[in-house]
Amino acid sequence: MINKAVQQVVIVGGGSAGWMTAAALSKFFDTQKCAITLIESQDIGTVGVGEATLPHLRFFNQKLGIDEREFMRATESTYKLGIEFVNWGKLNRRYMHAFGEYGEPFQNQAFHQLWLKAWQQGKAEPLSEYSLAAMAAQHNKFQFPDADPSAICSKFSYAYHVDAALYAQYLCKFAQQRGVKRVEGKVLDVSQKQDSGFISKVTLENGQHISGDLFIDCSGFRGLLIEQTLKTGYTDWSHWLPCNSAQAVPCERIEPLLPYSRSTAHTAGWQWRIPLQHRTGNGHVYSSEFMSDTEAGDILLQSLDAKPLKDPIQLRFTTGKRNKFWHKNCVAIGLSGGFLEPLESTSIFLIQEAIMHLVQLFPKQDCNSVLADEFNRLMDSEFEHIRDFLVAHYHVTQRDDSPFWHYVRNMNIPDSLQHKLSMYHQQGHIIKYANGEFLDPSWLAVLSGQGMLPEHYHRSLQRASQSATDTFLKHQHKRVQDGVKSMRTNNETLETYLSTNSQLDNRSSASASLYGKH
Amino acid sequence: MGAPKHVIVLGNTPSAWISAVFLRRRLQIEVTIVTPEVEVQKTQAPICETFTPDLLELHKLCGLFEHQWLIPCKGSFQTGIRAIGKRICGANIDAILPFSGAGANLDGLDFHHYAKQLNITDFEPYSLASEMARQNKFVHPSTDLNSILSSFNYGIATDANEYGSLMTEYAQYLGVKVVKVDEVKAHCESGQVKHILDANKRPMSANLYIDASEDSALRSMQNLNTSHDDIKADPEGIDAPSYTSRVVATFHKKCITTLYKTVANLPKGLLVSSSLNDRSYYQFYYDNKVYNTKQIEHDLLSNLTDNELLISLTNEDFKNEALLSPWQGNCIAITKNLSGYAPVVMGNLEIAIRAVNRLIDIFPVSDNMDSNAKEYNRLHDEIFARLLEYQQAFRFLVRAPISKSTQNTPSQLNQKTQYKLELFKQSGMLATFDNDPVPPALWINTLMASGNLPENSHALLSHKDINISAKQIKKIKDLVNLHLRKMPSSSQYWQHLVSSYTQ
Repeated sequence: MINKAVQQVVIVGGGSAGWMTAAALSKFFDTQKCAITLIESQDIGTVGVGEATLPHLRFFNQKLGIDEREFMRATESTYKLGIEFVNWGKLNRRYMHAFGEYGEPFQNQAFHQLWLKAWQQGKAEPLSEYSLAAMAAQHNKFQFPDADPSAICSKFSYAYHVDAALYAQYLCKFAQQRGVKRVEGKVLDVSQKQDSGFISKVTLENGQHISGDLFIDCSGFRGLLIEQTLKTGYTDWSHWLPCNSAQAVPCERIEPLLPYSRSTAHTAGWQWRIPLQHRTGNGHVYSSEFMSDTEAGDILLQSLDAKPLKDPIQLRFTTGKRNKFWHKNCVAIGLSGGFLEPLESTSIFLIQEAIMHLVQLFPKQDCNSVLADEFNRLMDSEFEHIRDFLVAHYHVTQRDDSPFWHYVRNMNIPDSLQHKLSMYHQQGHIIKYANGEFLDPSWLAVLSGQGMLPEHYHRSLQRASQSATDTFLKHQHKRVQDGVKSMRTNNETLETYLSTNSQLDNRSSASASLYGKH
Repeated sequence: MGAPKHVIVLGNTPSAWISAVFLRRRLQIEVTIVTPEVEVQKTQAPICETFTPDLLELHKLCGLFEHQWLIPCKGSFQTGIRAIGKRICGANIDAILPFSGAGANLDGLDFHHYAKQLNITDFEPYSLASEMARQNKFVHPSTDLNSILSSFNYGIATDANEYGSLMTEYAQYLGVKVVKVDEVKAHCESGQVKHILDANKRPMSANLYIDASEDSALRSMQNLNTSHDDIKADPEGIDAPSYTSRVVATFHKKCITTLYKTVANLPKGLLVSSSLNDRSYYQFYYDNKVYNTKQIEHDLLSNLTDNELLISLTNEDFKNEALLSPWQGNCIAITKNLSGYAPVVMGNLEIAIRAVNRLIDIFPVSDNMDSNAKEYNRLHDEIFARLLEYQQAFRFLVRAPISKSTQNTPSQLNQKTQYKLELFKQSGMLATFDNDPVPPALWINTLMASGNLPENSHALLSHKDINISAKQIKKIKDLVNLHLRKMPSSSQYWQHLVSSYTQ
């Protein structure tokens, strides 16, 4: 039998995952030859908390040919330079995890090694003052990164705060314009082929049958196809990431618009604040083992910076991932594939990664298992690396003021993270990996921000000339401060950009130098 | 004891000297090199060492810019590897495998996907690096990323003895102390090296020891019961290659310096050869249980022409071994990590240079070296596994024997190698793993040259007009030709370089 090309793709579920997938597939493939159908029901709400993003989303939009202004207007987006963490390492302490580099290498050593030496001598400013992105965020400034790699303003990247529901709507229109067929309805039944176990069709409540060669499960936590039908199993990481609940509520827009998200730690979890053009997104992520829903809701509402626009919605989740993201002819994308709490805004990133891997590994009708194996290997790697990064936020803390913090501070952590922390703590060495987030500046921002500084700097700097290091450090500091001074405020940049259609700001296209592989 | 301040390097091998140079230069640490007399007396057969492109940057880290070692070592540029053998289907292979990718990435897809779509089987005309090697033309890559001249990279080939001499001189210039001993005597306790005895039987101690001796003498004396137990023929289950010996021959020969190293699968074994200036170098890997050494030597010499003069001819038997977890206690074994390993992509000296630089990256900061050793060994073992996978795939693809059985079948390949080959066949994607020192482009070039193109065109090309693809690809070929026509021969370029640096 000739192994035919996939002719019918069926996406079950809308939301960010479903419509991002539909939009990308309709952009990259000819929908005349490969029909794409998306099934969603207005009666099933979307989670829609993935409102803060990573810079990678710019590359995704760019690949789809989406105009940035149009996208930002349609989704009420604002710029994001990073995340401010409050009360994490210690009560009343804050730090910025910004999307940018710290200084420049000195004598072939990472900048932070030199900084550490100077810091131990009492000769350095706080590390964040050597990061343009962190300083710009702190001073509420924003400008587009410079295309000239020698310019200080090329040393950072940016992402967006985005209304996830509006983004899904925007992509829904985008995808339908490119031939994606939207079907309204709830899936009632899933049929499998007897011989292979492949999914052959889904049946909707109204009796309509929809057949496909390849099924994408974007049905959310329940995993309608990947779990309820194919029973792939779930790896539970809640012993490392014990938060299992969230309440989300929007409030009015807060002025001025800040170019960063804020994550404020509470006694059994943390609260997000995400500034959008038309409102502010808020949510409290917590562990129900350590806090009741009522208490969590009270804390959330009391901590809002403006009037709430709705009643909070309640969410439950189990942190972890499917044992297989791709099984037979079904690929799970989004929450159906796994869930890592939104502490580092990775939800949309993981959707994007899954889509791009799928496009690269796009199968024939037989869905050769090696393609699924590779997809699963890559997604496992993405999830595990992010997991370790998130666990580090909780574990590397000096807080011990509640049972929750006592638990996370003392829990056993994954061996991979233990080894990574050990190398960093001992001598500032950050172990690298080929696939998956996060990069060195992110680890540095979070670990140092949480209060963990390496005990020793690199041996090669022991005999570095004192005057040379002092001069270099001062120069690095001055470059950042001057760079920030030259920037406009976040509100000014945003308003000017959105109120015109010209490209007068001479901005460069998204570059993959700092964040973003695809 | 605090941070290591003194390192003793044992051995009189190029690996020992280069280790001393890097440690001294990059860490400005006290380094003593202990050279056993037996190694000093041993004449090293001249061989050609080739280095992959990464090594240029690594040499800069120890203060050596390209011309500072390339010219004294009478080295040459290398744009890739020439593979000679047979494809699985039986057809002959004679292909240049450049270190850089062929063609270009168009609309997010690499060249080989287009090659499949357009049924292109000869890739060399689309690769500047391949054509440069074929036509023996060279210029340095351009820094202008929009130019096709920035699309290739290059490694270096040198005479290992010349290189060793340069490093010896450089080490002494940098202040590395040299202590000669008749034989290595060390005192070890609980797996830790306590001291080495000098020629007058006085103890010399250091915080860290690097064993770069010919016979891993120090490691054996550590008495860890690991020096042999750790040596496994098949890390990660890779089937052992069937070679047991190698003949190394070097000739004076008026020859053209080639921009590649040749790896040829011949009926009796694997031949690795290079040409530099007035010398040609051969290493022939074979199974001495099947072929008589004298016969192999005779075969090699029978091809000599009148203008060739034998400089040296040696034979060495070896075990097929890989030394895993080379950092034990306070001692790191750096040489002979891969014994009997045919240097298809990189030789033992490059492996040693990479190793010492990994050590420097995570150089201990206190007497507690457990995490450092764990990290070093993790990287080392992963890198070796990846190298052996490439080695195995190469041999499989050119139909060199990969095991003691005569017939190559995919099932003899290690699981990861099988996986890589199958994934490429199904999707044209290369599975990448952490810490693979083999450039992805070299992997893809190897797979393509051996006729292992993906089975189908990539799905992304399903709606792309084949005529548009053909036009885009033709443009690349035209561009390659255009630049080649203007390019000087490598010997002209070499002369130009030497005179400009001399001035």
